[in-house]
Amino acid sequence: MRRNLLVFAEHRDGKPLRVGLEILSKARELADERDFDLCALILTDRVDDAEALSRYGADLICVGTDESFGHYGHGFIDTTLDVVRELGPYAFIIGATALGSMLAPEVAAHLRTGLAAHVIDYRWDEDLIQVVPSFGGRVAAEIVTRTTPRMSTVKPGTFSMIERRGRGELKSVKVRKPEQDRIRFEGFERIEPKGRPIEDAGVVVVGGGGVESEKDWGMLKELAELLNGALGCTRPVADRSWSDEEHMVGTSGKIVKPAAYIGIGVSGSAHHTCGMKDSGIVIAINRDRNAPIFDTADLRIVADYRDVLPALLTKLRDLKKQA
Amino acid sequence: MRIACLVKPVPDPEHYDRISVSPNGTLVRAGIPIVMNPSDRNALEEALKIKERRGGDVTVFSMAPDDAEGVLREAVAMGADHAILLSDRNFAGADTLATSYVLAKALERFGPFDLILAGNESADSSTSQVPSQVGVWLSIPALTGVAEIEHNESLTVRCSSEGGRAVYEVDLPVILAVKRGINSPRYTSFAGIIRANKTEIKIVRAEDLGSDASMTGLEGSPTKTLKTSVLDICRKGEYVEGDAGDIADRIINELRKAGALRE
Ligand SMILES: Cc1cc2nc3c(=O)[nH]c(=O)nc-3n(C[C@H](O)[C@H](O)[C@H](O)COP(=O)(O)OP(=O)(O)OC[C@H]3O[C@@H](n4cnc5c(N)ncnc54)[C@H](O)[C@@H]3O)c2cc1C
Repeated sequence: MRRNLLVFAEHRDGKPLRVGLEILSKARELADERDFDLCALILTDRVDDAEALSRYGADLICVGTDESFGHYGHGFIDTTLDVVRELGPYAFIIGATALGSMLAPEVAAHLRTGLAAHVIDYRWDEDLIQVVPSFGGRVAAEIVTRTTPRMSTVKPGTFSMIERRGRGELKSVKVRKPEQDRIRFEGFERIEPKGRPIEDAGVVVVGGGGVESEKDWGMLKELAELLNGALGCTRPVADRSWSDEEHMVGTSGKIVKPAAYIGIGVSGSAHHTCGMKDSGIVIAINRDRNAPIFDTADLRIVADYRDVLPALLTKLRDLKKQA
Repeated sequence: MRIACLVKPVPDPEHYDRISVSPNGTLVRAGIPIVMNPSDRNALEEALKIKERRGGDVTVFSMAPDDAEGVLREAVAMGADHAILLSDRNFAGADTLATSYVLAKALERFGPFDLILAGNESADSSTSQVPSQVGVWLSIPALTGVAEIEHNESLTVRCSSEGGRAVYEVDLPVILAVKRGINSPRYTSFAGIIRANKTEIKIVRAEDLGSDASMTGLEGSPTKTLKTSVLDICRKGEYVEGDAGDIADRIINELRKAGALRE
């Protein structure tokens, strides 16, 4: 086996999740700099087109399909450990999805290796430097791992997808299943998202704890719609019924990089700004001149949103009518 | 039912904008109070609720320096029966693997426990790794992102996942990492505070645990931090105040310039 990097490419409903492709894209760059192979691991109940991963740079694609892989279980861990032991990758990177966040620490502990969480950048020095956020993203730490494989997780949205051909050889993986799993999957309860997803939107309007009522939330919704954007939130709003965690931006939520971010009644705690700092233009409306969000904003609007939004909505409606 | 709850003292997350890094590279967080990690409070609340319904006791564990005693005392004031502080110079500088090793050693030493609860993530490092890794050391299953726990013969656990919740049936013993939304933690009561002042916070050192020194602290940590820095995310912004109509025009203009206005 050539020296290699391994990426876990999570699948749902037969398709790869974007996060796996984002990580492959970044890992391809890292592999090229050291002349490593890039391997991908798919463990799923169904895969439509495993070879498609070669478009994002995968040289070797290891595939294990089993009905039990539609959800988390110990078979995932055992099968992953087998693959890692066989390939002996220099580094192993997993997307920090719900499933990945359960899988990665277990695999790392079994292998007695280090695991860097939510890496925001990788760089080769003598070793692989993994840059991770701490204190909600206020601080960045450069981490090296003294054991092999160097394991890490990456949140969705951290890296961009870049098409780059890999050799795309396929290899099937022997599936392992515990005879009796002490955790048994019973089913999946779908929850209707409260509005359009924020990950791909060109404009993201974020309402924070300063938004006072559900009626006011309606103004933010209309603003997002008029801008063909999506409406996100901060922690205090995710705790209310108007929005949900799927729309929360930050450490425990999503990373977004829209062309325009508009924060309304958002204070700008580090746990939130780490999820929006790479946006195009940042506009913040806050009545407190000293709110930390203004440090991260291009346009710092010191005002009560209840004054600004009605005027803005009227003008945007007019623009729309003219169009 | 014997329940263990893992709690971590953290610098108060409301003040992370005050953290800086000194020229020699060490973190400066002077003046930021130490509090119980937010989701650990939810873990403790869940533990107390289960104890109230099913009987048993709740023991809180924390691996932290001696001065973290206050957080454990608060846990007792909320209703925990016992508190154990794992504090040793050799535990310092631990990454998640070395931390989970010490916690697992302590859970073995003072166990066995039927159920171990922890917060899903810490406010300071937010890795969400420790609960699962404790599970590996103890050879018991772990679930994270737990949004609901329901009791029958076994436990029914709902874990948040992209687009919904995955439902699992689990056998005890198990370790569960709970999310903030799972409940609303209680406040400490007056009687609780009096009891907490009378309760011994047991301080446990490496030698009491019989932990292997090569597995703990800096030495037992496979990851090494080379350098820390404050992430500079500041922009050169411009303040805008005044008439709402003017502000609205300005916003529209800027969106147009950024190509974010589809007309
Ligand atoms: C482990 C951990 C993870 C976390 N993860 C996340 C995360 O992913 N995402 C997240 O958002 N948070 C997260 N948090 C919470 C975070 O620390 C902050 O508490 C939160 O972001 C604050 O939200 P906010 O700014 O909307 O609300 P607040 O702090 O309540 O701020 C409200 C703001 O609105 C302004 N305001 C009030 N009224 C008006 C008005 N009429 N007009 C204009 N402005 C007004 C106020 O001046 C204030 O600045 C996390 C915390 C922890 C501990």
